[in-house]
Amino acid sequence: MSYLLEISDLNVTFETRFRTVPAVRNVSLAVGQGESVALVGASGSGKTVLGRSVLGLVDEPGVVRGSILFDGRQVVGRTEEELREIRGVGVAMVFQDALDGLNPVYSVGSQLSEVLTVRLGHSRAEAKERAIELMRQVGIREPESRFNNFPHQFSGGMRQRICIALAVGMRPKLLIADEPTTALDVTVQAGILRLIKTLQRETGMGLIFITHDLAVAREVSERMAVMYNGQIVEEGATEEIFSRPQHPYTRALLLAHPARAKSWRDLEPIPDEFVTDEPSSDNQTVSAPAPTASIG
Amino acid sequence: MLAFIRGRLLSGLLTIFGVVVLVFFLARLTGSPIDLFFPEGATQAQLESFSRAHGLDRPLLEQFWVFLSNAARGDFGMSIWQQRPALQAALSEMPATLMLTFLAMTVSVIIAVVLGTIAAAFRFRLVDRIITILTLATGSIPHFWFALVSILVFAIILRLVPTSGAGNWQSWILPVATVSLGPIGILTQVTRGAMIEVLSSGFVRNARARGFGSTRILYRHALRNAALPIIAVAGDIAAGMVNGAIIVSVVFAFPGIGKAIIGAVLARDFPVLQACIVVVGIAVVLLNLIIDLIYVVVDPRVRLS
Repeated sequence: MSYLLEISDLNVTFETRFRTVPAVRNVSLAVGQGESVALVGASGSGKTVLGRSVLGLVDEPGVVRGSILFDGRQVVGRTEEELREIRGVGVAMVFQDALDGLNPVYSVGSQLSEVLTVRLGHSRAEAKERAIELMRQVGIREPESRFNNFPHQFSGGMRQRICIALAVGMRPKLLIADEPTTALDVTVQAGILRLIKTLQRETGMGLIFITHDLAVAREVSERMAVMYNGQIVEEGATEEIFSRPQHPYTRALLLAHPARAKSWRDLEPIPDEFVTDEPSSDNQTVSAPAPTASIG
Repeated sequence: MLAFIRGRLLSGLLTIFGVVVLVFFLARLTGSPIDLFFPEGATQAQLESFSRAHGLDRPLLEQFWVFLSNAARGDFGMSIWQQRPALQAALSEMPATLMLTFLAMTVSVIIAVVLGTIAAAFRFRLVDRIITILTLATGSIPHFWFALVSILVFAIILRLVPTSGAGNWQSWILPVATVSLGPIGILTQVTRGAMIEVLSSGFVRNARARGFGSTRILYRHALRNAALPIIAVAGDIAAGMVNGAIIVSVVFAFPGIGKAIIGAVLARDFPVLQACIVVVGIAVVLLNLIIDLIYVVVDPRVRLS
């Protein structure tokens, strides 16, 4: 079976004059057409860098080595100009910072239309019609009257919905959602998750959902990869991992999740040996415990 | 909107009034025009009739009152030295000043925005360093030195442009270059700083993730967000230029309100001085108003209040 996205032996390091920090280490991951994969891990585990590397968005001093095949095409090592063929139209990404994600000086309508005219070659009239349709699709009420509103006139949740509209508007084959609900009010999180799932079903696109929230991962994904310290330590069917976690880190994560607890006393904090802070020296990442079992 | 403009104009009027009060009394501390107007040995009768004709024999406060009530009707009195109304003397200098300001600001904003954007896009690379050093240099070169050297090189040795005056278009080149030099330096650095900040923001990263080209990202997505600080600083600089580009007036014998003000001060031509100050004041108030309105056009988050 050929995959939509095939990452093999991917290493991303940030190399400065004084030290080299590995962010992603020997990661291999494949995502099939229309499949949804959750990438789970604590902050600093390398999930976001992994997601960005698929779009070629790792900037200096980051160095990407290995192979990322999207639709049979190599992503690693391509120029900014060549990457444009993939970005947006092939792989789209929704980011965590919903409040900073839209250009504050243009109306949301013009930003949606811009994507459609510049990237998909729609005429202005077509683009406007389709932009309004997209706004309706992501749950903006009365999109015609809100077309000319500016981002600051929308709430955080609505802005993230527009970001999602901008991403799916180009009909990508793969959507990478990087903690799309983290910056938002808890009350609007469920709505955004539902929206992403619905859009995925309707368009048939693949989904990589990056999150640190296991409950969210369970809700959106069929398959799940647990990242720890730059590596994928466990990968498999989501339900399988929830019922039979293999890796000690996955077990620790599950024990630390509030969903299983009746009271805060039931919660188990992540054991100290798994807590990797910002590496303070070169060997910090090395001194963290090496994963004992690696599946996938 | 209209209420905002009205409020701004009113407060501008107050500012101009304050400046005029200062200028009126300070100027009279420098002495009397009579001492300059008449050669030694002028008769007492001549002096007295001159005094009376220009109202200089009245008590100071009464002179002030007369000035104010006439000025409110648009009458700034007759120039002491030139045989024409003071207001006309002031206004006749304004076109050259406004033209010089307009040309210099256009040149420096265009050059600075292009250079600053390039520097920000290639930050810490060689191009950025070269641009930073060059603009630091243009920002710190003394105007009068540059003016004199450029006259020597371009007007006297190469004979490409005239040495002075404001006749044909060639005579504008050196003055515009001289007054643009400093603003190019400052505005390039402002643009660079603002652009670097905007380029690291989420919506620029998103624009890249959507596959937009780098030119579109720089000039459509980023630049308009970086525009506010650039406009603010450019507005300040423009207000300074309207005040008079005095070096240019002196070195290039270039007309302008700055030259008129210096002339009026040296000659103790009080009516012309006062008229010039009011004209400049009005220009600066209007300029600031225009800049505030540009803010609103550029950034929808700015609300007038």
